[in-house]
Amino acid sequence: MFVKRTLPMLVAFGVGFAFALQYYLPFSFSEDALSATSKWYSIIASFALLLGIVSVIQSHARKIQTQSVGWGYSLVLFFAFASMVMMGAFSAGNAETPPGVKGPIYGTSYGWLYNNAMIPLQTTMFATLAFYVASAAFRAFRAKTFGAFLLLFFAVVMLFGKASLGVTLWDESIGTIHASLQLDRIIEWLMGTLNMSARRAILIGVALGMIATSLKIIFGIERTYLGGKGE
Amino acid sequence: MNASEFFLNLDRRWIFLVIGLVVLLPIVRPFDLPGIKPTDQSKNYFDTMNAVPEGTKILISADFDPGSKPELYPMLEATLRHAFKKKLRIVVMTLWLTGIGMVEKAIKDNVAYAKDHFGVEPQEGKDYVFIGWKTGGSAVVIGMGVNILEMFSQDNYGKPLAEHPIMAGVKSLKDFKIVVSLSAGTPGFKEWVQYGVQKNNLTFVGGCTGIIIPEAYPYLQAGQMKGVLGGMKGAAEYEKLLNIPGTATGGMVALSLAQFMIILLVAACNIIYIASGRWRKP
Amino acid sequence: MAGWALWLMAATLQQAEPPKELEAFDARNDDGESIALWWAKMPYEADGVEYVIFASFTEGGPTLEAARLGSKKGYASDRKIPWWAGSRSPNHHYLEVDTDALAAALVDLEWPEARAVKDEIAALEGSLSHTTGEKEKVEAELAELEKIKPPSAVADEIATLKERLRWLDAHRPIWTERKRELDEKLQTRIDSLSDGVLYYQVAVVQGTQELTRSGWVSAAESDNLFNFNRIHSFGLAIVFCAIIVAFIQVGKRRELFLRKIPGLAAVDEAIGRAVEMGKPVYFLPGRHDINEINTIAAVTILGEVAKKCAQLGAQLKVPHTYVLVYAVSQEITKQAYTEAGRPDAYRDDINFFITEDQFAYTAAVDGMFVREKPAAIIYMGYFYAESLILAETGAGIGAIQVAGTDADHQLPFFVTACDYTLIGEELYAAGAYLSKDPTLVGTLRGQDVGKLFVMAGVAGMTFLSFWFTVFGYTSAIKFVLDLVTPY
Repeated sequence: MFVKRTLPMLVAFGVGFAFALQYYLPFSFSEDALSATSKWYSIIASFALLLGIVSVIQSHARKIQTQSVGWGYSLVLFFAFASMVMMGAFSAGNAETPPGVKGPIYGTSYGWLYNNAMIPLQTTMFATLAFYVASAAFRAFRAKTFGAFLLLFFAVVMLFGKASLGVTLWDESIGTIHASLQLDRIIEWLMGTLNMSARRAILIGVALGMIATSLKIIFGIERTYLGGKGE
Repeated sequence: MNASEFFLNLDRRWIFLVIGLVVLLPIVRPFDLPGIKPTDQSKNYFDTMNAVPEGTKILISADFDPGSKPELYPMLEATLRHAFKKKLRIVVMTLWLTGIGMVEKAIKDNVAYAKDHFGVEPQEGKDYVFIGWKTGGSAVVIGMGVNILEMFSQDNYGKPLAEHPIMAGVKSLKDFKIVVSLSAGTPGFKEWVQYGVQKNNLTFVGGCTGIIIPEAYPYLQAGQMKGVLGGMKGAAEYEKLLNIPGTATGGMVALSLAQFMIILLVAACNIIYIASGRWRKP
Repeated sequence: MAGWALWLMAATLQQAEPPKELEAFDARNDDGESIALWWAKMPYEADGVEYVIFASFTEGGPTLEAARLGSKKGYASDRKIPWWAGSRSPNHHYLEVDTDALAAALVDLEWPEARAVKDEIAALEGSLSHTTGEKEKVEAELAELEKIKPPSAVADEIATLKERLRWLDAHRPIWTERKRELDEKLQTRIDSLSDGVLYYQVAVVQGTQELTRSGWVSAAESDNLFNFNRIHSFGLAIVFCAIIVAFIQVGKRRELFLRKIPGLAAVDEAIGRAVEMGKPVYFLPGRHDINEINTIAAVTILGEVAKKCAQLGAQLKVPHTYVLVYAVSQEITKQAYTEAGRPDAYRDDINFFITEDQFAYTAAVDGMFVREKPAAIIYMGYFYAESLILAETGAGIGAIQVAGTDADHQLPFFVTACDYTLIGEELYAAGAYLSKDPTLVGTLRGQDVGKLFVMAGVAGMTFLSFWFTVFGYTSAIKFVLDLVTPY
């Protein structure tokens, strides 16, 4: 019980309190402690990577063993995993031939997989966002109320501002009336004043929420992360 | 179901098809659109990079993964080209594991570009070095503020970093005249500002995806960031200021067309919505 | 007229007095790396006139130029400090010097061997650097030669190259150790000469001619315990903590009112719907690691959702993107099922790790949504670009969706695609709201009072700044602004 609950809470209290104060204490021990803790965090994060790999292998191996639904995809995962690891080891983790080393001008085998498999897959997923934005905009931007109309209006202005053609069209029509009606000025005002003030309100609330939650963790009021509920 | 009902309840797959065709058009039939107009923030980014003399050491942190490549890779290329053209000395790193390969390629391609177009021959270890990736995000930034060589004892290819001439006299982040972070999320420019700029009084400029550019505004207004490039448009503006067209300039055509299509769809939807009298119903 | 002015300036400079009120002291609010120099503004300051700071290990000893400053620059009024942290007098100069770098340069003057030691260190660094490149070249040449058949044709060349490699490998550690010894020797000598104290003089120079020089001042740098530049944020932090602690006590004594948050009230409805339809409930805890507060808030909510799922018999699935979050969530879910009186219903595969990669995770989860068609999807935590991809897919399969995030750039996407959205701090309120724990509700009230305090402060500062600007009280504006500037 001491090791599972009391000790972690004591560590959370001590370290949380110390590093909350560290921001205000400039002396060398304090700076060195921050630097050392940052290194420890990097080390722990590295171990977490290993844990993740083991977890993925275990869960997919179980799927293949029991031949549950979709176990073929687990085989594909193992094949892709093994290929990347082997190619990466063979190429010493370099996607390109290191400078000064004689090698193929087109790069390494790992680099080939990275550039021709990983990058296209990731960019494809990100590209689907464009389609979802279009369908979400089509569904959401309807002038049902005055507020919705305002949202629609400013969204259209922003869309104009983010396209070079839109900026040109606007500046050569509405923008000729007065310099302050140039689209980049309007966008700057919308983003820097209107949008910023609303965001700041949300950010202040979030910051206070974070401080309160941190205090709850430091003082041991919030213990859910240990696997238990609050006091 | 009449036409207005059909349109207002349009299956999203029709919208996907229309957007897909619109984006495909400039690839199949390339054409140009009217000019790109740099904003103040892009100009500030360019001016900050342009103001430093030859031989100045700068740090570029390419904090993005392949998913954000269309927006941030052109920024990285343009920044490298600008730096090579001005004969700056560049230390490149990344806080994102999956970004390593892209950074390697960007450096390799743009060293060759510099040789062909600017008549300069950047030497690895002397004019530039890629120090690779380290896990930890903000912990890495904090560590670099104290001692870079303790955080990165080797470059990306395993050579001891202290042995590179470019690292002579470089102990911490304070020894870089400019720090650049091109970021797609966390860790990214926020971590650089919160743990790097404030503690070490750095000159910092950033680039980010279009969606998170509002996060940069508080730092711009506080003067902690000197300039920012926002998304593919920001990258295209920077290319224009440099007078070196790149992939962002080409991509702006597709981006512009897609955005206009969205405006048209939304406008059509609202016109039909109002014309059909639905807006009166509670 | 111009000539007369120049004659007058020249005459003034010829009779220049040394800089007055010269002091040296430890630079404040740092970790003992700098000394500060302070002296009065002098009447002869002009373009072309400079202040040159000289440093020495001993008073009257050999000096080195430590810094050079234009006479019309470096005023104390240019310092980026708040009004309570030091003087910002426009009539005085203020300059900080890095004592470590200075001492390393000064040692050349007092220790004849210093130059030789530094040259040897530089030569060793050059050799080590050169070695790495040469070794790679030799290895590459060796690899080429070893391809030639028959091997006897190039046996001599191969032997020479291998001998060279052996020599390089043998000498690297010797050079490294020698460099380490020399670095240590140099530092020891610096420490013995300076003993932590350096001496300074300020000279007035015009072109190459030195016009006058001050007397000696000295100071030793030291670590400062507290950074007074930040005392205002420290004070605010203390006040806010006190408010939270006070309301925790209030919350224990009486029931505090909590307004209805529709998104959280809908969680019960969502889980009930999932039970009726016999479909799973998906819970996504965001894309930040366990060290982030928003993830801790998310897993707190997971505990409450898991309890409700256990009570109602709903099937819960929690795909993870970070292993530490997965490990913590497993414990939380197990505990929740036990507290709900249904430990038999708990399964280890409720929580499962997918991948850290953003879009691989999104693709995997989207695939699960499309195949399993969950009845309810709950997004709690910090999300990035994947938020719309996930939420639109969820909307497409007809799931009831509740989202809560403090990622303000993703809020519009969740608001558009989800049925209910918790905005910003409502995510942090959710744990208290769902559990109805009096202590947690007390901290919520404390947060609200803290917000009132901030609102009053912002309104007050804005009002004061406005009136000070109207009446031209620039120093008063700085006074107010310093209270809200992060130093």
